[in-house]
Amino acid sequence: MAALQTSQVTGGGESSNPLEIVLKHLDDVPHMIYGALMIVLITFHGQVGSTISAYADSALGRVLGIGVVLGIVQTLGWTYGLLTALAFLLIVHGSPRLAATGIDAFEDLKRHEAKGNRWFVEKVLGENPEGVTSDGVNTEAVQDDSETAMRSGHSNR
Amino acid sequence: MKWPEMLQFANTFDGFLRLLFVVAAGITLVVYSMPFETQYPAKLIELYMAPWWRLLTTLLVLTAAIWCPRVGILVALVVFFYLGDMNTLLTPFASTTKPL
Repeated sequence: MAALQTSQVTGGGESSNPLEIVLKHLDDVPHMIYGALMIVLITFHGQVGSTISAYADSALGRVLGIGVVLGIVQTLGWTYGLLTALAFLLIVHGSPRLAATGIDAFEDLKRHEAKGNRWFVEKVLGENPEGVTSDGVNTEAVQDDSETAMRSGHSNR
Repeated sequence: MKWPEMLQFANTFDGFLRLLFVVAAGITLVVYSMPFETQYPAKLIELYMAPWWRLLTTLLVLTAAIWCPRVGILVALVVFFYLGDMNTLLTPFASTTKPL
């Protein structure tokens, strides 16, 4: 019995029970709720809509996001700030941005309703397509307009 | 030469463990996270589908951050690259383009 008591109470009268240590070091309830929200946001960041992530990826959204992260670090501490930064970066990372980089291919894609019988591969693979993205795409031949090609073109003349 | 205080590890087993985790996270960052072309292990790709796994990885960041700031930051970077890359690679290409 005495040995059990000494194992539960260490030097300075501080308890070594893990549950008590955890309960003793718990943060305020509002802070923990905020942390839980951040954890859920990080876990399901793929469910965040593209509109929201596009706003977050804009110049104003980035400034506001970094400001919020700094504010959280100052008020709630750097651990919550790290979670907030992770959530913000994941939302920004998931924003649609390929059109902004100048990729203008497949502009003439249109959606058509699926008509007629299913194709053989669709029957084999058990697919039931509701529509076809496009049945015709305009393409152009690849043109080499580099300096080398232009020089060789001139020399052939 | 003396290291900055935040980069110093105490000469204890705990300090050795922190150093070990920092080195492991650094190697993971260089080998798997930063090169986009490097494929993640198949198990990690399968586990990403499960929400409880993503929850555990986020709790790993929280635990590491509470334990040691240096380990927490590096683990957060590893988890960011993992979650971000998985989300990008498993999303259909058509939904990643901005509507014109």
